[in-house]
Amino acid sequence: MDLYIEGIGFGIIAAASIMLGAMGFTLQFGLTNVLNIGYGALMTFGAFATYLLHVWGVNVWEAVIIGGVATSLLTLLVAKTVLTVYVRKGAALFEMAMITFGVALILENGLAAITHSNTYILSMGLEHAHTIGPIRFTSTQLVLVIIAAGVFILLDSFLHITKVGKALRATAVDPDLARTCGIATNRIVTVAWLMSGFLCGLAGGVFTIDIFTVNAFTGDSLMPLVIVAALMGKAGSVRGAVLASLVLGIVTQVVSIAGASSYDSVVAYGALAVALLANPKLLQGGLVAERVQITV
Amino acid sequence: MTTGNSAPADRPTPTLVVEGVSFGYGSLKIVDQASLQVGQGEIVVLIGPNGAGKSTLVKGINGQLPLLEGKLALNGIDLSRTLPQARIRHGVGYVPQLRDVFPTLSVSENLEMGAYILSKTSLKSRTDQVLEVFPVLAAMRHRKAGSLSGGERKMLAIARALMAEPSVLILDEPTSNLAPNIAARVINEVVAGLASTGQAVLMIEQRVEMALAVATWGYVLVQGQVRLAGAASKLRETSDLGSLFFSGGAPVPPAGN
Repeated sequence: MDLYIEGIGFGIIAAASIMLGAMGFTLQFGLTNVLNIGYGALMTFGAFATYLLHVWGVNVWEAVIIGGVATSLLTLLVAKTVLTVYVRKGAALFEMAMITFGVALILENGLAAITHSNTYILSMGLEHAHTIGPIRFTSTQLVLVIIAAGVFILLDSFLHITKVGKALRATAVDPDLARTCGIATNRIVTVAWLMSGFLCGLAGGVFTIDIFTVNAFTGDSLMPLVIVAALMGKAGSVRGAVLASLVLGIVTQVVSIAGASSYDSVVAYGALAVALLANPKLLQGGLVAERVQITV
Repeated sequence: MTTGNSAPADRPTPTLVVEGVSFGYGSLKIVDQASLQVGQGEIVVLIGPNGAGKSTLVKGINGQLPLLEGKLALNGIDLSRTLPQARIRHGVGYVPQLRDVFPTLSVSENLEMGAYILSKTSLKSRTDQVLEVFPVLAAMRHRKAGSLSGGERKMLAIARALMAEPSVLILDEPTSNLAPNIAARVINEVVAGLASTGQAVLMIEQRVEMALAVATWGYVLVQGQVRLAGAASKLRETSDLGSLFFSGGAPVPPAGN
């Protein structure tokens, strides 16, 4: 029994990177209506940025933040150059998903070519384990959880207290009505790209600190859990994404302890299937499904 | 009463002037050289059969569709090439027929979004002013807009549009999807009450009798063209209004004032 309780502790730690990724993904999908399959590759970019900065002597936590900023700028660059071209040509939801898949292939294979597909170790040094009951964790793991929780509190407060945050939520629900209110939705969408890109890079960095390694496909291993958490939490809902991330983190770790450690994705998609059976409208995320215009 | 677009001298100085405008989707022209005016304190109703182009016309006035020809001005300022998000700054308030509130935002947040162009300092005073007009909303400030009843939701939509202190308020079928008794309250109390505050209102309405009863002036749009215009009281007496609706746009002889 203690083993399973320990699994819950590991699950909360694992949920930290899922949570960061899912918050960014749900924000991006909710605001832009672009199902960004390239999100995993961008998380990999964030992971590599964190790794390289750390190797070059930057404090690892500063490296995570700088990596997030770098990923944010790369995300905006991809959105405003590649994606804009196809949006102007009238690409629909599915086509845009395929285009982002193409972007992912270019980014990941580019990274694979540069790194010769090597896996690099991010050394955090030996740490003393803390214990609360049957749950054991290191200081680094505790910081990962604090980062994820802190980012959630900041983001949630931003979305619910500030004028721009409320405009973001309004634009996600109905961009036409938002424009009628005088909200410059193009600027709001730019903010969404930047914020979601930052969260994406942060997720990549945190994930790589958690698992100690990084390679050209690191983001891909986190991507299924991120997408499922974002959709289970109802696309566009940050609070929903966080809750779903916690559930997925814990469930996958408990399942792992039960002896099915290779079935993370199966568990994730199984959970999504069950959630969709209970509420088929989960994928709609506000009025996202009704929107015909993709915004970049 | 006129079949053209000229307005008699007894109407107030026009706030909104729409002259020979055409709107459509792509190459398809839906509204063809329509003209109308709305003055301060007037409730002007735009009526016509389904598919006449009423919603297209008001979407065009609100900047959601490109102007193909003609011009439109508000308080003497040409809005023909103004972006939709900028029209509210010039005084255009708009309540769509559907999707008229942000359902996942609270009542307060919806009002705040309506006042997006206002400064933070004027937000509170404006909210208080609007809630004086709609006291029922004051008790629902923290409720999600999506949980409101049809009538409450429409009140919120109108209140949201009023937050920016528009010179003209455009209502696209405010009683759509409402039960008859709620629809009557929206028209007779809410819309009629707006005119008493001096608000200029341009309203599309399918409940013709009800709308003409509170309106000061009316325009009949058929197949994208203004076929008839006149004082609402005169339009109510027009016996062939129904035939005009179903005539497919055949010209109706002038009824005279």
